[in-house]
This record gives sequence, structure tokens and C-alpha cells, in this order.
Amino acid sequence: MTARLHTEPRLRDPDGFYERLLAVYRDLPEDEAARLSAKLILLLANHIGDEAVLDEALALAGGAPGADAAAPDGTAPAKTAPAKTAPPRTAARDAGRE
Amino acid sequence: MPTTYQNPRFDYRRCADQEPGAAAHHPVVVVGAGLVGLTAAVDLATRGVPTLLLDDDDTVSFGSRAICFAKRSLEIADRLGVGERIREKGVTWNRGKVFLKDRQVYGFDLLPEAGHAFPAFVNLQQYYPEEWLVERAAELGLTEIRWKNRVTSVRQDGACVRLEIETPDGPYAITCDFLLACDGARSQVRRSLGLAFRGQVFQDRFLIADVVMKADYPTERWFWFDPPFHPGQSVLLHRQADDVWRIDFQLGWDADPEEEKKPERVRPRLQAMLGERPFELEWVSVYTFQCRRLERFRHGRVFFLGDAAHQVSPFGARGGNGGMQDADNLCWKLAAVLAGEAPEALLDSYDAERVPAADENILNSTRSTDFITPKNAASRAFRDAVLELSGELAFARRLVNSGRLSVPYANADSPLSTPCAERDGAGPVLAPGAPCPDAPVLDPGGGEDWLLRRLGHGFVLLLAVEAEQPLPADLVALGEERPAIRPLLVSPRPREAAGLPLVIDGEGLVARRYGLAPGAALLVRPDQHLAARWPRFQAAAVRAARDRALGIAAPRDERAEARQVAS
Ligand SMILES: Cc1cc2nc3c(=O)[nH]c(=O)nc-3n(C[C@H](O)[C@H](O)[C@H](O)COP(=O)(O)OP(=O)(O)OC[C@H]3O[C@@H](n4cnc5c(N)ncnc54)[C@H](O)[C@@H]3O)c2cc1C
Repeated sequence: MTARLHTEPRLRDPDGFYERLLAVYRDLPEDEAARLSAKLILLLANHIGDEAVLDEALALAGGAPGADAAAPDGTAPAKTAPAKTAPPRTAARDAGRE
Repeated sequence: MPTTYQNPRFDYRRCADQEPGAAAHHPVVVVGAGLVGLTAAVDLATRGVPTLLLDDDDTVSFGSRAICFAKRSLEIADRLGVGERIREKGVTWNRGKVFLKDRQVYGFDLLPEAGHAFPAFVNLQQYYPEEWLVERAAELGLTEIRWKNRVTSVRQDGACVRLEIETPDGPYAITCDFLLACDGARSQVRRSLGLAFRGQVFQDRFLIADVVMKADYPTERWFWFDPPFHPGQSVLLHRQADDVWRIDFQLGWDADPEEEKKPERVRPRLQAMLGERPFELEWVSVYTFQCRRLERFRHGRVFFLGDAAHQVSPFGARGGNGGMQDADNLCWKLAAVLAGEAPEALLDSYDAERVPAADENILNSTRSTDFITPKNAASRAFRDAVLELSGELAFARRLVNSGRLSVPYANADSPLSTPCAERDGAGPVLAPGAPCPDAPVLDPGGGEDWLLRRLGHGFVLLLAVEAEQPLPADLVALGEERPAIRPLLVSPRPREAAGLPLVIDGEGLVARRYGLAPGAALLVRPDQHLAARWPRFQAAAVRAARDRALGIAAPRDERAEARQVAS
């Protein structure tokens, strides 16, 4: 089975996106934040539309064993990563294996 | 409390089996004269099989339970002779609406096409069909119903089943060859055999209020999430016969069922919803629900049907409808075995066909319940997100799940079906295993009829013929052998039929719904499910498919080939 979920860096401006992502959550109480996340996931899931890709993302995010995360390839924006104090963040680690 | 319906009372009568030392034996005993047990007994009677039907009560369903009868159940009821009564008395509906707060977010039409004898749904209080099935059983004269006969214990060995029965005159015992356990969700037969009934309990409570009122609501299923009159919960509105309306209020797990049932509690809830409309309370109950099933539905000589075999949440109306389809599936098989036309192994296919059907019902009703009753903060967030998006965005509307309403199981992996290689180019092909769809047909004389009525309750060979095409010579022989395969010719125009039954597919709907090209042959089972299909009629293949549908081991290959060459 070929992995179809893109896990290599694809955002042109990761820091900018991250900032905008946090901005929509700023000052939201927890339940509203949860609803916002849910809307975002649903919108993006429908945009992707490919259930095999979504299943891969679900497995990866849920920390399923064998979920195949691309290793960081060095193109990650090192300048913002807290490289000295923490290991590089891979998708698999973000998925809850830490 | 009910004012629109008076439960009939059926007398308990002492019978000869109760005399000391009687030791009576019956071929088939059905336990439970509920919706499913009655369906089974009447189905068996239409096939000439006498049954003894035992019920612990002396009347039909008391108070309101099932109200939504799906198209397939109506078609089954029609075959049994009560379909038209249900349709006439009941309330026909095809459409539903879903509201969030005070605005509509979604609407659906379950039967957008014409040309079916029965609609997607008829709403009718469960006691009506039960009462009519009791009458129908009496008319057919092969069912002995013993009211106030409570089965207390069941044991079986390889040879027979032994039942202990409690009556107002004390206990007695009988034996039988086959036992159909239709004794509902708390099945005593199931407990007596020590069988596990596993699944999931949902932590929610619902208040059912049936009210009598003259209301101007359209005849549709209306479902609200978080309506202004019942904030934070859901509400379902359905119309029934006799100006009775079913209103279902979600209460949450913490509600006190005894308190919530009190009229002084129920009335304000209803007034908040109904405003100035005057209403009478007909029936109130509070229920919780579960989704669970037996691991297998056949246990030797004992078969479980309906709620005794499986339980689902009411969202989707899959309980009673699923149970009627259990009866539809089992009865022709049992009749064939009793008539010596099929080996007992055919009865195993009840498990093979109905366990996956129950799983499909449980899956759908579980999904609906998970949507309606979110289990944790995350699932609530997703549910609310779907609802909020659904007002504007079509994709979100498809995620709104207020109940996926009962449709029959497609039965694609049935061991009784002959696999088909055929894939017609045009239109959807009806696959073996599936229930036969209805379509309007004409008699050669021009009289209007429905295809399903013409199929009846035996094996039928549907043959698509053109006006000029000669008929195969060996069709008649099929109809005369045992078990008979009755030919039914389907032609776009009137034609000579050599004395064989013929229907005219004037609107072309049979051809479309069955994917028929001229010359195609379809074998229909006695429960009106498709057994096999071929692009061309071939008597040997038809016989082999019938035998397969009867669980008769396939003849050795060379014999089949020899027959094919010969024909
Ligand atoms: C609120 C509610 C709404 C529902 N709505 C729908 C709906 O809209 N559509 C739908 O399809 N389904 C619906 N259902 C489900 C439906 O009511 C059941 O699935 C259906 O009644 C099952 O029929 P049954 O014959 O298997 O069991 P039951 O109807 O429970 O009948 C069992 C019978 O067995 C008898 N019995 C029990 N124990 C013994 C014994 N030991 N000896 C002899 N007799 C015994 C009982 O007296 C009874 O007559 C609803 C259920 C509820 C609670």
C-alpha cells in the first residue's frame, strides 16, 4: 500500500499559518474551541474527499502502530524549532507517542 | 390511558394437551404472539404449515411501540394478506425534515420515484397490524393461538424440543420438532437456553408522549436538534392513525423516569412545543435502549426472531421491521424442510442471511444514536459542528444523522445465491440475494397489477421476452415438477404466451428496476428475493440455482454439464 497522505512539508509559510491557526482560537472557551476544531476537521476532510487518505491521517493522528510517518528531511524550518532542548518533532511523535 | 384504541381480549381456553399424561407433540411451536411471532405463524400458514402459537398475555401490544412500517415490511404484510389494511388505516409518508434550533437544515424524500404499490413508510400503531394478523391467522385456520400460556423453560436434544408452560390452570409440558422463539427482548427461551445477549447500552433516556390532537403539521418525520422548546436535547415528531401524534423527547441520562412520566411534568413540555393547540395525552412512557444480539440465531431446533434475537435503538425504525424480515426469511425455508423439499441444512442459511442483516441494522442504529446522544465532549463538538455547518453547506447535511431509516438488507453474500457473472451495461443490476423491487404491470387484458403480487410465494422464473421471440420449450416442465418453478413472462407488449402467465411491462419499470434485457431469466425465491440471474434461459442452470437456494448440495460437475448439453 502506498502512503497517500502528504507528510512532507508543504506549507509555504508555516509560521504564518500557525499564527493564523492560533488566532482563530484565541480567547475561546474550551467547548467553543473544540467545536471550532471539529468544524475545521470536517471542512478539510470534505475538501480532501479521499477516504483512504483520511483513514491514514486518522491512524497517524491516533498513534496507530505502523502508521507511517515521513522522517524529517531537514527542510523543516530549523530556525523556529527548539532544536537544542527537544528532539525534532516528527509527525509520529506529534501523534501521541511521546 | 389510551382512548383511541381498545385492546381486544382473547380468552384463555384449557386444552387437551393440559390433561394429565397428555405428552402432546407439535411439529412447529411459535413462542410469542407479538408482531414477529404473528408474522411467522401467518407466513407458515400461507405455506400450509400448521403451528401452535403460545403467548403469555391475552391481547396484542399494549400502548404505543412501533409505529413506522417500512416498504419491505408492507410488502411482506401484503403477501400475508394484511398490507392493504395497514396502508388504508395508517399514515403514508416519504419525507422528513431536520431542524437545528428553529430553522430547517436538511430534508429528505425516501421514495422519490412513483410506481410502487407501497410507500417508503406507513405509520401505524403496532397493535393494529397485530390484531389483523390474529384475524388473518384465524381465517387461514392453521394457527392455534393459546393465550395466557407462558413458556417457562425450554430444553432440547437432537430429536426434539421440550417446553414447560405455565397457565391459569397450572403448568403442562409439550414437545415439538422446531421452535420459533419470538418472545421479545426479554426472551425467556433465550434465558432458558443460557445464551448470551451482548451489545451496547446507551446512556440516555427518551420520553414518548402520544397525544391526540388536530394539528396542521404535514405528514412528515420532523426531527429537531436543540429546539427552542426543548433546549439542548432532541425531539422527534411523527403522525400516526386516529389523529395520534408521537412525540419523542430526549431527556438525558440523569432524568428520573418515574418523575418524567407524570402528566404534570409531561404537559408543560408538550405545551412549550405545541403552543395553543389543544391535545389529549394518549400514552406516556420513558425508555432507554440498547443495541445487541445473540451470536447465532439458530440453536439446533430453536430459532430466534425479532427482539428475542436482536435489539436496536428505535432511531431508524429497524426493530419491528427487521423482525418481520426475519420471519420472511425463515418461514419458507422451514416449510420447504417440513415438506421434504429441502435438507435441514437449509435452515443454517437463516443465520448466514439474518445475522449480517441484524448487524447492518445495529450498525446503522448505533451510528444514529452516537450522533443523537454524543458520548463525550469530543463527539458532542463534532455533532454540533456538523449541525452548525449543515445550514450552509451541503456536505455537512449528509453527515446529519437523525436515524437512517430501515431499508432491507441486500444479502449480497448469501450462500443460497448463484453468483452471476452478468453485468448489464445499462442501469443498476439487481444482484442475487436482494429483495425484489416492485413495479406496475398490466394483465394481457389491460388490468393493472403489481409485480410483487404476481410473484406470490413460491419459486418464480421471470423471463423477459420480446413480442416476437419464441418461448423455450421446457418452461412448462419447470412449473410442473417439485419444487415447482412457476414461469412468469414479462413482455413490453401483449403477445401469445402458450398458456403461461404473462405480465406486460408497459412503463418499462420492471426492465429498468431488474436490469432486464430481452431474453434474460431471473430466479426468484419464495420470499421474493432474487436467487440467480442469467442473460439467457437455460433449464439446467435454473434447476441448479433452485437446488442451491434450497440448500441442496450441488450435483457433481459432470452431471450438471451433461444436463446442460442435453438441454
Ligand atoms: C418506543 C419504541 C418505538 C419503536 N418504534 C419502532 C418503529 O417505529 N418501527 C419498528 O419497526 N420498530 C419499532 N420499535 C421496535 C418494535 O416495537 C419491536 O422491535 C417489536 O415489537 C419486536 O417484535 P417481537 O414480536 O420480536 O417482540 P414483542 O413485540 O415484544 O412480542 C413478544 C411477545 O412474546 C410474548 N412473550 C414474552 N415472553 C413470553 C413467554 N415466556 N411465553 C409466551 N409468550 C411470551 C409477549 O407477550 C409478546 O406478545 C419500537 C420500540 C419501542 C420501544
